[in-house]
Amino acid sequence: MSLMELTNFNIEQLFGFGEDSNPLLWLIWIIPLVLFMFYGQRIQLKISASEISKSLEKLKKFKTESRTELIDYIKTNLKPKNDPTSKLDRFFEHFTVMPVDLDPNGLVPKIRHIVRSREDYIRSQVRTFSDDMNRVEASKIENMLEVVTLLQMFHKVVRHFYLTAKKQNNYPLILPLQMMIPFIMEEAEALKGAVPALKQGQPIGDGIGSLVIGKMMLDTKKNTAAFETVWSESDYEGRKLLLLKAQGPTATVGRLGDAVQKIVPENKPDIIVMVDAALKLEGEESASIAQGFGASIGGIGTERYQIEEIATKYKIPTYAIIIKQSVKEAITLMTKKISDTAENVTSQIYECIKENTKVGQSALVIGVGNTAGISQ
Amino acid sequence: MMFQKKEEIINPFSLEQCTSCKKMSKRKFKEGDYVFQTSTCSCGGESMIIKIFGESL
Repeated sequence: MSLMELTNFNIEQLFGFGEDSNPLLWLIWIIPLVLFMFYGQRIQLKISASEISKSLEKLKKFKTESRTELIDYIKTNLKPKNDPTSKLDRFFEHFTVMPVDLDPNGLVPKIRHIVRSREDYIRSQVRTFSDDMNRVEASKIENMLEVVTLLQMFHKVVRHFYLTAKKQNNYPLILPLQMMIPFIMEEAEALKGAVPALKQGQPIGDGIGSLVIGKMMLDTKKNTAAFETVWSESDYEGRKLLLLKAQGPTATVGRLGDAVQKIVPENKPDIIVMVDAALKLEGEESASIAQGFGASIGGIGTERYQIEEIATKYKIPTYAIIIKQSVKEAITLMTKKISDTAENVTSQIYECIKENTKVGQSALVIGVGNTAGISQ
Repeated sequence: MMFQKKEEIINPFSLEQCTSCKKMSKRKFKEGDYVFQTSTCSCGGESMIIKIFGESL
């Protein structure tokens, strides 16, 4: 076919606008136009809803599977006298009412009190499953309980917006959900993937800070600094090192804020170095290391507040070394790439101490993160 | 399914090192293993788990 033949067509004939136009052809063009004009949003809603519905099904599957895994784990490993299912189902529905923030003065201690009360309650309730359960075992269950509760919450919130938008035929309502669903699913998949590691007490990516400081703490005398938190003394090229981390191999993050408030007034360190896992930005390389300033610690913010407060009071500069990773890497079994950064991070800590302190001064080095499967 | 992402299988490993003969051995993770857990090496020295990590197949 030549090019001439391809370009040699009549536009009027093509669209049916000519003198001998066919009304049927007209309809073929007009009906979809009218349909999209009046029902475009509804059609869009149907398409978006069907995509969200698939994610919702996936979330439901994650929620059900992790719930079953936890119940089976408790039944097999702890052999409780009574069936724990109904009690666990009650825990999954637990909620926390955050304190009123109309007057933000004194808000942080209130949040800390509420969060700790909840943690203490869960801890005491988990202990009721078995009389001879050790702390490591209990911490595994507490962490798994947290995962199932979060998955349950994700499912409930997504379902709420999905059903409301469908019920009200409200297209704008489904838009934010459509935008957020990839992020929610990424986190949900990470949470689902965390269960096997938590069940077996394996180290997770978030524990890299604990791993580094745990190694530095070997062969030193460990002292209790706060609940599930240990510290010890060491030295490096004439500098005194105060090493602090959560007490492993329990699956805990410890209470680093309380520990810092205890150690700093007694020992007055000249610098604070915090080592933590941090979420990488899209495009950044996993397990890359970065240095910065400020208290690098996640969570609800109460621990960070405590550390910042004490560092400001005693005018102690705070340095941070972070190991970047994705959400999934942070809460699932530690990858080889992340664990291999330990040596490099240790040398960066020593370098930071050497650069920022003189001989005879001291540094408080904090390993932040969940210390599941990592001792000291 | 044709376009379904293949699920990655991650296997957990424990890396042990003897403090005396410095011999390193990588083995499959056993339940109860934790980093810095010690055991006796075949040379009679103390062996320690220095890393636990996951590797994809």
